[in-house]
Order: sequence, then structure tokens, then C-alpha cells
Amino acid sequence: MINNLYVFAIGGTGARVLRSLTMLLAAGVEMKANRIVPIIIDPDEGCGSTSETVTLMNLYQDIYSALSHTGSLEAFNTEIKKLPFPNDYVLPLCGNIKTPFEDYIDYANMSKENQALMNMLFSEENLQTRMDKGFLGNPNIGSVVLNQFSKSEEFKKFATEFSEKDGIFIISSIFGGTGASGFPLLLKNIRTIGDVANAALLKTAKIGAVSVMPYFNLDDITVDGKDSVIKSDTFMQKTKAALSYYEKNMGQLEVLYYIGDDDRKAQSNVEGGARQQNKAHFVELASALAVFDYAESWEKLVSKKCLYKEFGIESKKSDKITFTDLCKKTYSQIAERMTELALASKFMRDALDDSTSQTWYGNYTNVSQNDFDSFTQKYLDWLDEMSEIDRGTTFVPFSLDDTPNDVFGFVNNVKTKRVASLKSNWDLANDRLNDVSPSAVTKAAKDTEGRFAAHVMLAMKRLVKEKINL
Amino acid sequence: MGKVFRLHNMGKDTLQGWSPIDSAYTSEMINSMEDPSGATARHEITSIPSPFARIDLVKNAFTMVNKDNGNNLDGDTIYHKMVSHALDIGQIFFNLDVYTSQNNKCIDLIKWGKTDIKQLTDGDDVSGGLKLMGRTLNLFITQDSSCYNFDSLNGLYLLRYTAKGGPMTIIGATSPATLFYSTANDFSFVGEKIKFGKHKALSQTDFVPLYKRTDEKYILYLYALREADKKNFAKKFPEVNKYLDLTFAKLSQDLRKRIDGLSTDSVSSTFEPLNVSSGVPVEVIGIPLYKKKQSDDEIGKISDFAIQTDKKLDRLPLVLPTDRFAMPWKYVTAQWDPDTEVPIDPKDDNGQFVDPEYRILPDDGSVYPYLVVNDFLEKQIFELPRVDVDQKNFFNGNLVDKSGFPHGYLLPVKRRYFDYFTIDDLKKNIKLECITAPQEDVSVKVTLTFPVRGGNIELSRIYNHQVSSEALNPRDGVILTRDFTLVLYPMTKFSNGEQPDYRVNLLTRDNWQPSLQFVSQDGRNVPIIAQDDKNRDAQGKKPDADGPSIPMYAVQQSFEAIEISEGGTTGLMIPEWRGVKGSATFEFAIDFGTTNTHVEYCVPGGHPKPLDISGQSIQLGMLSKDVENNTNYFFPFRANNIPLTLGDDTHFPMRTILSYKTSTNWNQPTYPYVTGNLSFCYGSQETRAYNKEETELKWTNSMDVKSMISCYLSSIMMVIRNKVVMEGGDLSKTKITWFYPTSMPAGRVATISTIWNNLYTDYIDKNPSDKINSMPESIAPYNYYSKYREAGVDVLSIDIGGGTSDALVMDSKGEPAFITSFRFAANSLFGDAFSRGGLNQNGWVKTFQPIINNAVTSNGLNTIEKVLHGVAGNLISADYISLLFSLCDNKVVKNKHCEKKVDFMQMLKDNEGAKTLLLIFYTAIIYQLARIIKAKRESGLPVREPEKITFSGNGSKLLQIIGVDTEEGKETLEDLTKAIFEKVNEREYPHARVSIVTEPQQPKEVTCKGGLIKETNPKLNQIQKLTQTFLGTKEPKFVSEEKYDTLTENDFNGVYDALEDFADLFFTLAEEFDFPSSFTTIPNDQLLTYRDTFVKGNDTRLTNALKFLGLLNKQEKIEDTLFFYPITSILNELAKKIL
Repeated sequence: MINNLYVFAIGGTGARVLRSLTMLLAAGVEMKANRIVPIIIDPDEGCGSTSETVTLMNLYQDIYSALSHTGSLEAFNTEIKKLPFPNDYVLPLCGNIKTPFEDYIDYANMSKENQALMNMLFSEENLQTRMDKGFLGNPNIGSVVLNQFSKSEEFKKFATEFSEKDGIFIISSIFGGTGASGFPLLLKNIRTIGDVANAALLKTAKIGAVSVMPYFNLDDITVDGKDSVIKSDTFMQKTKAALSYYEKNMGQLEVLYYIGDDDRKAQSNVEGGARQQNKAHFVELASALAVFDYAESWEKLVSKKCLYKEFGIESKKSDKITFTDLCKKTYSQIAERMTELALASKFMRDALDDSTSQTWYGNYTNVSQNDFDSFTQKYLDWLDEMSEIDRGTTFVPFSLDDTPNDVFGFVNNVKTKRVASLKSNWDLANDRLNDVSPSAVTKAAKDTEGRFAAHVMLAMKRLVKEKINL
Repeated sequence: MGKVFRLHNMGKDTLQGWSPIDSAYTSEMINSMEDPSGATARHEITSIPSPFARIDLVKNAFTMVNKDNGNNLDGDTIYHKMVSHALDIGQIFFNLDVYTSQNNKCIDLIKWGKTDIKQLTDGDDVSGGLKLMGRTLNLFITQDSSCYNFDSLNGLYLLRYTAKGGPMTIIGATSPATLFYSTANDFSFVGEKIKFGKHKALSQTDFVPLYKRTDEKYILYLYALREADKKNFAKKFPEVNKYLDLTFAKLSQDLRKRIDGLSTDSVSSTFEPLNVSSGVPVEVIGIPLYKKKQSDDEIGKISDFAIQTDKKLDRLPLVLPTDRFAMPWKYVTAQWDPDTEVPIDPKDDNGQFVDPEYRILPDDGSVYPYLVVNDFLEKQIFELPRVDVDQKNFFNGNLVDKSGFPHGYLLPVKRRYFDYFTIDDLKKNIKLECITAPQEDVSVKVTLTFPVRGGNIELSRIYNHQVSSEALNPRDGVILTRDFTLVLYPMTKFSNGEQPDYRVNLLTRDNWQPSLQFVSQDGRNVPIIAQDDKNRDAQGKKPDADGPSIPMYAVQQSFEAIEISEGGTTGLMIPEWRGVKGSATFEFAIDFGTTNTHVEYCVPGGHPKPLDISGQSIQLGMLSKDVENNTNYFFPFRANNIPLTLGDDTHFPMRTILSYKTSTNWNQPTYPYVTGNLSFCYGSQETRAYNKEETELKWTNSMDVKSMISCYLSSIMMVIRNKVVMEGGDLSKTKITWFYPTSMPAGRVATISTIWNNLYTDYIDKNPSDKINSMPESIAPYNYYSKYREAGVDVLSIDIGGGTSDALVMDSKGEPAFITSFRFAANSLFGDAFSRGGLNQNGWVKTFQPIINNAVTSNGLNTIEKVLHGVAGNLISADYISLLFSLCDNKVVKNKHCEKKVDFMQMLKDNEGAKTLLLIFYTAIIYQLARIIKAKRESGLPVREPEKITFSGNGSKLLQIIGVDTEEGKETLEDLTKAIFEKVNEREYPHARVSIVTEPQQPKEVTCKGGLIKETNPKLNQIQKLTQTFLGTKEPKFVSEEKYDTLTENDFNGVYDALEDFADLFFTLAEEFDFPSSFTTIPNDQLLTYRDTFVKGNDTRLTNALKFLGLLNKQEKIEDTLFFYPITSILNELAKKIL
């Protein structure tokens, strides 16, 4: 089992997959690693996806810290460790990326020959690109700007802490700018790092990576009235070009997960910045599952012998995928856990306010606006986003509407079970909440907030087992 | 059946969650990914996470176009674009010389070496940017080495475009993966300068696969490059290798064959190494690149447009059509594209005309000379107003004119034509065609046909009468109508060794003053020796304000064309040289007389005849047909040039008159016809205001006159030389005989002799040797009469000229006994004697001027009236009378059939006084000669009274007045003559009778004709011995060393006595012969009243005469008898009385 699983999330896609990963960890999907150490690489400091994910992970870690992880509770069971980076999980970049690329590389001070080479390798547009919003589909710029891991203190810190029990997983997209460039570069840097204590370990570390290929299109040809730099009609060409490059130049991985979706619909086009908060997608969830798969297979991986994997589901359909459309392995891996957290989230949303007079709640009157509550809201949002019909492939495992008269029938394509009780719906839920063993709660958590979360999750776990025929 | 989240379609679709697949995505899988916009994708791809992304993208682009087994080589996707651009870059390298040549420089080659990374990594880098870049480059070069051959990479060679764009506009470079690649930038502006056929380099819209490239050499080169190390090539550049394989099938059979024939060393043997500097090749991962052999003549050797000429040229320029041309001809590397636009006026970026040497071939980009219509045809054409070019004399451009009106054009051909062709070529290959333009105007289309390798190419231009500049098609030209004409002589080419000497007279109206150049065979200017416009004074004004400008040019080298130019526009006139080359010996005799000059010539086997110019050998050529009928040009044309024909209306003998530019400075070099010339039209047209005429050439002593004589005689010499060269003669064999009177002072003879020798060397041959001869005027006639009139022994030959009479006495053995000459001739009779009294004081003039004037006026002979008026203004009576004699022979008079109305000879024949004066004149001459013969006989010479007296010289015509032209009259005159001899000799005549032999129609010609008969031609020293000057005293005395200042009173008295003796004789004969009845003179009683005149005042007359002649008391040898001076005065005085 992996001790520290370093997950490098590069660019916007990296951050979004990390979000899914966090959700799955929160739900309690089993991770064969003691802890996850996310490292976000994104020059787009204001990127919405990144900040959303950072917030989420902080929330997760708060909840994780409140729990004691000794009992049978799976939710929030894997630590998400933060390296001591100045900006949470984000690996800082040197230099002033708010300048055009040509200034960044100090073009003016190059010899004539080198200037000529720059003009040959980089287009005029490249040279004028400011990189504070990512590399905007220009990974060739990224390959330069990001080529500073090995020189940064933070990266050295990672390298120093790395041990042979640790794993490395890299998440990136292939069709954008940052991910596409950061991934091979990171890999090259890890493999060639020279002046750190664990250089040899890093050279032989088992590295996994998911390369996310196009799974959505961009909506608008113009952005704010101008032609967009990012053009989805080039996604495929970029992908194919990059894949060809990978084919030739990526023989340094132990496992590579390919994923993409040919059933794509448009996302509105936002060039970087806070508005780049593309909605969650099943492919991101599946990509997050690659991390679990990596951890699962880590021990069996053979150094320098790369495995390649693809992700399949049972059903051919791509709209409105439900749990039952997943293959059995995936189903059993995530359905029950996700349902538990979903039910908890529904409860928090739809029933908690009406449950404050319940016995079980007496211990938690001070935690009404707690982290767990916040997290479950985000979980519901995430689920909601994945189910939106304009996303091409939609993942709709749940019907999340407030249905007080059919509280447990929310898992699509899954029937409820009858339970021997006079109570039903949220009353049944409160009944089960009241029924949770205080010792179990105490055992599971370190403080009140932890106990609250553990209390709710323990009850929901039982309810899912009782009421839902998964 | 499930769904796998993938983009390709090649694997199983039954994967369960994350499941292993067989391998990394293969190219096949990647290619199978559906790309909805793939077929039309235009956006640049940038998603390769490497600074060397572009290298990879181009490599990948080759892979993409290689799909479909060769069916995807064409297309307009981003991949096709990248491949096309890479091929463009390769082709620029291949033609690098073209773009780095000094005249067309637009490319710099920059070498980037791997070691240049050190500049980035090792520097004192504050920002970290350089180091970061350096590190990144190193990282990728190391990590991705095998895929892009970075391991073999030494460096990259980058093309910097310098003609446009920023300071570091790198358009492409060598690539270690695909040989060449371009940047992602839109540098389509490069295509403005760099084109491969119609394909503009780095075009954003026109992508050309290799097999469609028009430069077969380039295609061949890439295959040859591969062939040099095929195995390695395929390994290192698999995509390009496959591309070449796929392309091969699409190439022409011929090209495939050539490719099949390539060997490992083909590339180095067929192409030139492409070096970055001497010995340092441009290479791609160690493979040296090559370039097209830019041996410049290559294009000229292969292009169908290459000019074909006999001239030796370093390179054959192309002749390119500016009009649409659709023949399938090979242009440079490819077939000619009919849409190729050839500039009418090749100019550079700054709008400056580009010399053909530095031109850039359109749609090709090579700097190679090409020629267009503007190089050969002017934008303007000179048109003669309503008149044809005279095709006999000048080439008319093969004019086709169906307009029904005359049209003459100069050839609007620029000098450059002769860089490649000759005049003969031009004549074959030019065509002028009058075409009817709008508004019934006539336009002319000029077409030049150029032989080029592919056949013929025609360049043409249509010239229109001036239209507004907006309406003018820029390809067209403008017609400039100019009123002018031109004459040239001689119309012949000179043979090697002969000194050419041409005169060209330009006659222009409307104050048009263009300049002329004379163009040699090879297009160079031939120097103009002299040039002057007689009708332009020192102040630039026209003395004859209404007359044309008449600049005359003298050229003494061969030329092929005459170029006229006005403000940069030129027009050519090409003489149609004529004449017959030959080696015949022509002999000329020139009798330069006081009043008249005659020239005779003979050719081997022919009789002597007067110098003529006949229809067959007209020396002069006129540009336009109308010169003789164009009143604007007619007068100056005739006055200042040799005549069109000679021997009819204009003929020798001719008045001895030099017509010259009034303001001539005779101290400066003069040229016949430029400065002045023989006045061919004297008497038939008014002298123009700019000309002056000099009649007294032979005897006047002044430096000016010496120059004038030279000018006068050289104008004859030009006619002579022209005749020789045009009529089959050989100048170096040409002989000239000239005559002099023995009475002419020796110094003057020497002067004239020098002039003649100079003229001979200047105009005939540098080596005169014995080809120029002189002969006394007295000997020549005898030769003639001896040959043709059986004058053998005891002959007195008398030549009466205008100024002198010359006599030769042949002794009884037929040998010349002595020669004498005296200045008593026609002018002594008609002139003003020894005064400058002028016409008003002249008895002849006073008597006959009114009669003639009346006849002239009443017959409407206006021209003659003006001419007479003009000559009268010169105040020289002899000139005037001489003119009167010529009137009945005058063309104007003849044209009006008025010969008899102005027949001066007849008037004199009808005049008793005139006949009386003639008898005195005749008797004086015979008396004097009889006395000399007597003296000689008495001194023991074998001479006696002549059996025959021959008369020659124009003055001898006067004998007609006293009847020599009739049998009866002649007999009477013979009787009289015999009587004179008997009285002088005081003995009976030794012969039965004396016969007078004359040549009544051409007495003047006799001298020349005799000069051409060399039977008697004593040497100069013999002549000096023979020459006797009879002092003229009654007691016979021959001048030995006497000088004018040593004359004694006895001598003078002796002369007076002789005069008295002569008077006795004359009056006795008058009685004995009854002059009034035998000669119809004035009655004897009237005659007798003038006897005193004969004997009184002779002392005054003699001294006056000597004084007038500047001889009185001169320390100068006596050359002329004193006897006739008083008689001349007596005749002058009597004329006033008895006419």
C-alpha cells in the first residue's frame, strides 16, 4: 500500500479531476494509499477550477482531521495532505508570468542565433502571449515556463520527502495548454532530477498518469467579442499531435490512463481566470477513479514497463449514465459509497432543519453551519453538474429533487427495499440517527464536528443498506 | 456491448472500468480518431509540449498527408499547409543563391549551433529567463533525442527574411526530423518576392505538394539527396521518405526515369554544395545540402524563351511576352503559365527602372536577364506628315498600309536591340502595320519578332495619335508627327580600308531641333566629325527665318542606322545601302577654271565623259519621297547637298562658285557640304540668306581663299569618291589629273598643288604616289585634238578660259615646242578690266541687262529674275555675263521653253559691236601667238606657222560670235588668221591654209578629256623649260629672270610699240577683209574713230593694270605678258561705246 500518493494535478482539467477525487474520497471510495498529497500545477492563479478544488480539499481535510479513522466508517477516510506551499497545494512558478513570453525568457538578451531559434520555434503569437492565464493551448510555451520544477524549493521539498513507498500520479489534459505541457515536462523533471537526496528513487518511482483527451467542446468561437485563442475545432488535432508525441516520447511511465469522450457537447468558452470553472463531468470522475486504480495496482507495477489502460462502462449509452450502466467493478467500487454520501447530503439539505428537535441532534446544536454541511452541499452541486443534460455524456446516478414522500427512491434504476418499521422517509432517517450507537460515534471522531459527520454518515450507511437495493 | 471512453475506434468495447489495453496508442489508433473538423482544419496546432513542437508538428504533418496511400498528397488542411511550407523552405534553400544575390537580397542565412545554448545557460542571467530556456532546450534535446534525431544534431540553419517584416523574421529552417520546416507565422508576404512558378512561397491558401512543383530540378534534388544514403535517410526521415515514395508514383514518366537513374553520387555531381561559408556546408544532421547550379546561363540554355542570336553573349536573356501568351513552352523550371504577368516596365521597389541584367524573372524569382517590349520599342513613334518613307533609300519597317494615304514612320526601336541582333535581323523581323483606329484615325502597330529557342515570339505595341493620358492604354504608344526629312550620301557602305565619309543633312520645320546619332553595327555611337546648321547663326537665330533648320553632319566611320532623338524618344532610320563594289580604276581630270570648272572621268575601256551621277548610281538618299517637290525643303536641299543627279540639268562644266555659310570662320577646320560646297544650283535658284557665294577662287590671293579653294575642290572630291565607291571602283587605284595655267605664278601653282595632294590623301587614298598628276592647261587640249582630230604636227593649241588663255605649239616633228599662257580670256572681254567699276560701268551689262531683264520678266521667269538680281548684287560683271550665257541652259528657262528668249550668245551674234569687240579680242590673241612663233622660229626652233589651230576652253565658245560655228564663218576666220600670221611673219604662209578646229558644244571639256589622254604629258621640268613668257614688247623678248621691279622704260615703250603695231595690223585687216561685210561688225568708218583709243593712253592702262594686280614694281618674276593688259582695258572702254 502506498504511503504517500503524490497527485500532480496540472491545469484546469487536473484541478477538476482532483475535485472528483476528493468527492470520491469523501464518499469513502477505497483508496489504497495512506494519504493523498495533491500538488496543483497551474500558472492560472485565478483559475476557478483550482480555487474550487483547493477550497473543497481544505474542507475535506478539516472533516478528515475531525475524524479518527478507527472504526468502520469509510467516508473521509483518506488523508489529503498539504505540502507546505505558500499557496495551499499550488506549486509556485518562478518569474513574472504576467509578462509576454518573450520577456519571460529574456529574448532581448539572447544572442542573434538564439533569437533566430526562438523566432523559428515559437510563433509571434507565442512570443507575445502572457501566461498568467495559463498557456492557452500553447503547451510549447508551457514546456518552457513549467520547466522549473527541479529548481523550485517546493519541488525539492517533494523530492526530499519522497520515499520508496510513495507513489506519483499525474493528472493532465492533452488538448489544452498547461496540462499538455506540464505533464511530459513534469515527468522529464522527475526522471532527470539530479541534485536531491532521493534522485535515484525518483528515477525509478512508479509513476502513473491519466491523460484526459477531449470530452467537451467549447461553445463560442468568440470570447468577449474577440476570436478565442482556444478553439475547440483544434482539440482533436492537438490531441492527435500530442498523442503522437507521447507515443514517441513518453516511455517513462509505469501506467498511463487514456480517457476521452467522443460524445461531446459544448461548454461555454472562458479563457482562463475565475470564470474557468467548467462543470463537472463523468470523465473527470472516471479519471479520478484512475488514481484509485493506480493505487490498487501500485504494488504490481513494474518499473519502466508501462501499462496502458482505458475506461469502460457496461452500457453503450452515453446520456444519463446511472450506476447500473457502470461495469460491475466500478459499480461495486463507488455505488454504495456515493449513495451513502448522497443520502447524507440530501438529508443535510432537505431534512436537517426539520430534525433539530430530534434526540440525536441534541449533541450538535452548535454545529449547524459545520464543514460537513458545506461539503455535502458541494457534493450535491458536483452531482448536479454531472447530470446536466448539455454536457454530452451525463452521469445521473441520483434524482436529487426533494421528494419527502420517497426519500430513498433517489438512486436511479435502483429499487428501494422495504424495511420493517412504522417510520418512513425522513422520519425513518431520524429514527436511524437516533439509533446510532454513541460509542461508535465517539470512537469515530475526535470532536463534535467530527462526531456530527460520523453520526450522520453512520446512520446513512445503515439506511442505504436497509432501504436501497444496490 | 459497452462504452469505452476513448476517441479512437480500434479496441474492444467491453472494458470493465479501468482495464489494460495492449499498448500505448499507436499511430494507427491515433489516426483512427475522428476529427470532425480535420478535413478543413486551418488553425495552427500548438499542443506539443515541447519547445521543439514545430519540428514535431511538421513531422506529424507529413504523416498525416502520407495517409491514404498517396491519395492525400493534395489538400488544404493544416497538415498540407505545413508540408507545403516545409517544401517551400527546402526550395528556398535549393535556390538560396537567388535570394542572397546582391541584386535580389531578401534572405540571410543564420546558423544556430547546439553550442549556442551555452549563451543561455552560462550567462549572468538576472531574470532566469535565459537559463530557463537553455535548460529546457537541453532537457528536450536530451529526452526527445531519438525521435527527432537530436542526437545527430549539430545545429539548425535558419532563413531570415530581410525584405519585409521585423528584424528577426525567421521564415524557416532545416529540421533534423523532416529536412526543412517553417514557422507557424503567417509570412505570406514572402510570396511577394519568392515564387516558384505561380506558387507563392509560404502562401496561406495555396499548398503545393511536391509532385506538383514546377521545378523538376528541385524534385530531382530531394530524391538525389535521399539516394546519397538511402538507408539512413529512410531511418532518419521516415515521414519524408514515405512522402517521397508516395510522390514518386505521381511524377511524370520522364522524371521517374531520371530518379530511377540516380546513384549515390548524383546529388554531388548534379548540384552544387550549399555552403554557409567557404567549405562549411549547410547540413541536416550531418547530411550536406545542395543547391541548384546557378550557373546563370543555365536558364538561357533550357528556356524556350531564351533569345537566339549569332552574337556571342555570356548569357542568353529571355524574351518575355507582356501580352497573353499561351504556347506550352518551357519557361524556367516549368511550362509557361499564360497567367504569368510580365511587367511592361520592370521596376524595382523604389520605382526605378531595372536593367535587364538585374531583373527578377516573374513567377520564378531568379535574377536573370529578361527583355520585354519596352526594352526594344519606344513609347513614342515619329511619323512623317503624310509622306511615305522612300524605300529605295531607307527601310520602311515592312510597312503594311491599306489606308490609301501615305504614311512614313521611323522605327521606334531602341538601341538595345543591337545588343542582340544586327540591322539585317531587324529588317527581317520588324513589321509596321497601319490599323484604323477609332475616329478614323490611323494607328500603327509595330511588331518585333524574336527568334527564341521555342520558336518565335512577337512583341508589339500599338501607337495612337495623342489621346488623353487617361485613355491611353499603358501598353500602347503615342504617335509624334514631325515635319522633317533627311538626306544622306553616299548611300553606300565603304569597303575595308576605305575611309568612310558621309554627309547627313537633316531638314526640320516647326523649329524642331532633335539630335542625331549614328549607330554602328553593335549599337555604339559613331563620332560625328563635324556638325553645323547653316541656317543658324552664332546667336542661334535663323538668317532665313522661314526656312527649315538644316543641320549637316559629317561622319567618317561606318554606321548602320541613324537615330533621331527628341527628349529621350528615339527613332531609327536604316539606310538601304547600295552601290557596286569593285576594283576598277577610275581616272578623273579636274579642270578648275576661273569661271567654270569641269570634271571628266573615264573607266577602263570607256571614253572620257563629264562627271555624272545617273539614275543607276544616285549617291544621295532621301528619307521621304517628296523632298524634291516639297517647297519647304527643296531650296536648302539643292543648295547644300550634292545633286541627286548630275549630267542633265545640273552638269559639268559648272560655274566655279563656292557657296558657303555666311558666318564661316575660315581659320577653323572646314568640311565640304558642312561649311560650303560647289554651288550646284547656281543660277537656278536664289541664294539663301545664310549662304554666301565666292566666284573669284582661282586667282585671288588670301588665306581665306586658300581654304575656300580647298572646300570647293573637296566638295567635288566627295562626289568623285562617292562615284568610285558606288560604281565598282577602287579608291586606291583612282587617278586624278588637275590642270594649271602656265601663266600662274609658280608659288600659286605650288599652293594649289599642295591643296590637291591633300585632297587626294583626304578623299581618295592615303598614298598618292603617281596617282595624282597635274598638267598644263595648254597641253591637255592638244592631247584631245591629237587623238580625235588628227592634230599632229605644226599645231597651235589655244585654250581660252575665263581668266587665262593657254597655248601650246607643236613643232614640225610633233614635239611640244613651247607653251605660253596669258591672262587674257573671256573675262578680259566681259569683265571690268582693272577696276572695281561694277556692273554700272560695264558696257556689256549696260547694254544687255535691260534686254535680258525684259525677256525674263515678260516670260514670268521670276526665279531667274531673283537670281540675276542676286548675282548683280555681287558687283562682278564677269559673273553676271557668265550667268547670262548659262541662261539658255537653265532648267527653269527650259521648263518654260524660253531658251531662245534669253539666248545671250545669239544676242551677241546679232550685235555688231559685240562682234567687233570679239574680232579685236581674237586678233590680239593670234597676233601675239604669231609673234611668239616667229620669234621662236627665228631663234632656231623647228616651229613654223601652224597648219591647225585648235581651240578649247569655254572662252573659245565666243568665237561663235564671229562665226566659227558655221562653215563659211570658219573659213573667213581661217583666212583672217592666215593673214595675221603672214603679216606678222612677213612671209607667205607655209601651208596651203590654216584650219581652225573647235569643239563647239563642249570646248571646256576638251582640257579634261585631253588630260585623261596621257599621250603627251611632259614632266614638270620639261614643262618649265617649254614654258615661255613673251614680254609683249614689239621687239621679241622672252622673260628669263626679269621681275616687275626691273622692267625698264624700254620694256614699257616696247609694249606700247607692240600695241601700236597691233593697231596697225588690225585696222589694215579691217580694211582688207572688210570686217563689216565678212563679220558684220560696226562700219569701218565708225571703227576708225576708235583707232586713237588703241594707241593713246596705253602707258596709263599698263601701269593701272599692274597696280591693280599688285604687280607694279614688285620684286616678283614676270609670269604673264604685259601685252594684253592694255588691250583688256581698251576692250572694256570700247564696250561702253560701241555696244
